[in-house]
Amino acid sequence: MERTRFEMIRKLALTAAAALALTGPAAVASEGGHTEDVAFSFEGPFGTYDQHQLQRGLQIYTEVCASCHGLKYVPIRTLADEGGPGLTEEQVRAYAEQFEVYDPELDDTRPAKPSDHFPPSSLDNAPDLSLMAKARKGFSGPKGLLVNQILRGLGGPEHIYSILTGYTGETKDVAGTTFYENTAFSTGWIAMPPPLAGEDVEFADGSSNELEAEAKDVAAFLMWTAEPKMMDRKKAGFVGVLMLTVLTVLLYLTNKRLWAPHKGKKQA
Amino acid sequence: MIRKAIDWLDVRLGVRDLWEQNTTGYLVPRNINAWYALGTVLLVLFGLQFLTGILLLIHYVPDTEKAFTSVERIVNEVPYGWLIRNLHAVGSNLIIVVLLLHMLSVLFMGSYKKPRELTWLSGFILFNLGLALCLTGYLLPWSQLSFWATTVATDAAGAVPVIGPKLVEFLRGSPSVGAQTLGRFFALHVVVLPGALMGLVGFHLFCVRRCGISVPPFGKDARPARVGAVYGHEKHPDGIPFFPNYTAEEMGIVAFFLAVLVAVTFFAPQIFIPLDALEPADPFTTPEHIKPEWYFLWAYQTLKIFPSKFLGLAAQGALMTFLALLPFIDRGEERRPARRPFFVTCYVVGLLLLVAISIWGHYS
Repeated sequence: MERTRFEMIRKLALTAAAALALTGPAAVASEGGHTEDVAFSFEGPFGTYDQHQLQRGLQIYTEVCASCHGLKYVPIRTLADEGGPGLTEEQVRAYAEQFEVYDPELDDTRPAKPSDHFPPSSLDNAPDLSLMAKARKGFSGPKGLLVNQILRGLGGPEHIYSILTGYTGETKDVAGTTFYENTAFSTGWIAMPPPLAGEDVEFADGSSNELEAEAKDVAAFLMWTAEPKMMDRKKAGFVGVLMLTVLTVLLYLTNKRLWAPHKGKKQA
Repeated sequence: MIRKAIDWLDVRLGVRDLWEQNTTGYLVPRNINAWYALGTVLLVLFGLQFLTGILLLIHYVPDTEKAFTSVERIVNEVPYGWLIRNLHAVGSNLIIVVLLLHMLSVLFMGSYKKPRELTWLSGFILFNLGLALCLTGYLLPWSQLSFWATTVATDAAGAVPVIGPKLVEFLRGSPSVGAQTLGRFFALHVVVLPGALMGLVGFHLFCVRRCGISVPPFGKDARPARVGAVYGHEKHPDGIPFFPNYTAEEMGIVAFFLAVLVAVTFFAPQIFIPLDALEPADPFTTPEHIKPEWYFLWAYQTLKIFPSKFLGLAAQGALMTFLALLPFIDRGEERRPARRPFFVTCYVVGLLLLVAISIWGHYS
């Protein structure tokens, strides 16, 4: 991944933050489940998405997750957006055609177009994944004070990673439903069979397709679906805070000069 | 050309006099302090809420089927929608913080006393309107958080004797929170409450200008504050002009609060958009933790402390009525904190109690 200016400032900021002891321990147990801390490229005030990782995550989502889960809040065309997986328009059009969507005007299904959204979940008990990375958290800092999100996020993608890698292999049957033991799930037993086992997909760029690498890639992709504008937010925020801080200081100095003749005089 | 235009306006509206009266001719006490700028900060923040609110209104759909999707579309698709939504959500919390600071400083300096009773009373109603705006705005995204927080909040009204159940149904428009609730909260949030707020802000500002700024009761400049002393040009030829002197100070403080707002909005918006706000409302699944927003925690916890909900509600009502009518109850002339030990003790104990109950509510 290329080292941008933001990346470097981010490293500095993280070092400073570690010195302030705000980061907490490496792995923090959330309520009822264990969340593994993963270093993602988009963490911290200057974090950015890794385009190649998002593309790999998209591939895993398409080939594995999409058979049960949906992304109904995500328009397919956004795959071409800057800062996202960055597919070309032809790639997006070709990608869209693999999904069948229901068109109320035709009262029938047709191949999806880039302007359509991803299809919703096909299984009733498989939740939609669009916002999952923000609707779950792995850790939130000491005493749940949420300070961690400034530096590392709330651990939503870490939670997804931990679920995908947290299967122990144990199963149990309750009232005809099979549950799988999972160290990251709040109750310890999850209804979803292990979706990834490693080597589930073949990456064109030859990246690792071991379980951990796959889980990390798909978690990063789901963070992007949950907050595609995250990089805009962080960049604009940096400029905004800087400008307003300078403005505050300038106004303070103006104020001091304006009041100089009046200070120290006794009120009549 | 510009001169001619001003002349034209001056003949018809007297703009030169107006400008003079409200800038250099508007005098403020020499020892005025930063706390007096919080009113202006609130004016700016409310202005920002109006602006972001109108922009949200363009894309928001008040329908139980579409509300959540429309909010997600604003955040993830509409250009700069994430900025507008986050500013609106974080801004509402900052407004409550500044409202509290504004009221606490006015209480501490005794500025609410004669002849400023109506300034205090209108300000207190404005504070409640602010809370009502927060409560109604909370429901609009139709998330799990919206749905269940509103269910809990409207439930509380059921503790009122005799008319309780009827009152709950009136607030919700139906036996449980549903499409009717969304409809009426939407109307309240975008028309009724902002309209009332604007009118009352006008009245509040009129009161402030009518009686002039109260002299801060501190420092060597502090005189045995005479209750009823109106700060005006005739009696205080040595006052400081509002413009440019105090305007510069106010602008600096406004810029500081905006910097705080921007910092939270950009780097930690999820503090005010919790996890349950990201799941669409589902009346059949109760989330694990349903806690009201931080500024309602004290009320939530007092309802739990008292043996019956009705007693808790009555205590809250009594406290709010007492605070609203404080200038008519506390009629002493003294405003200097050092000479009001009983008041200052109550102030500190009351504040600590409120904070303690809120923290208890958060962890209980």
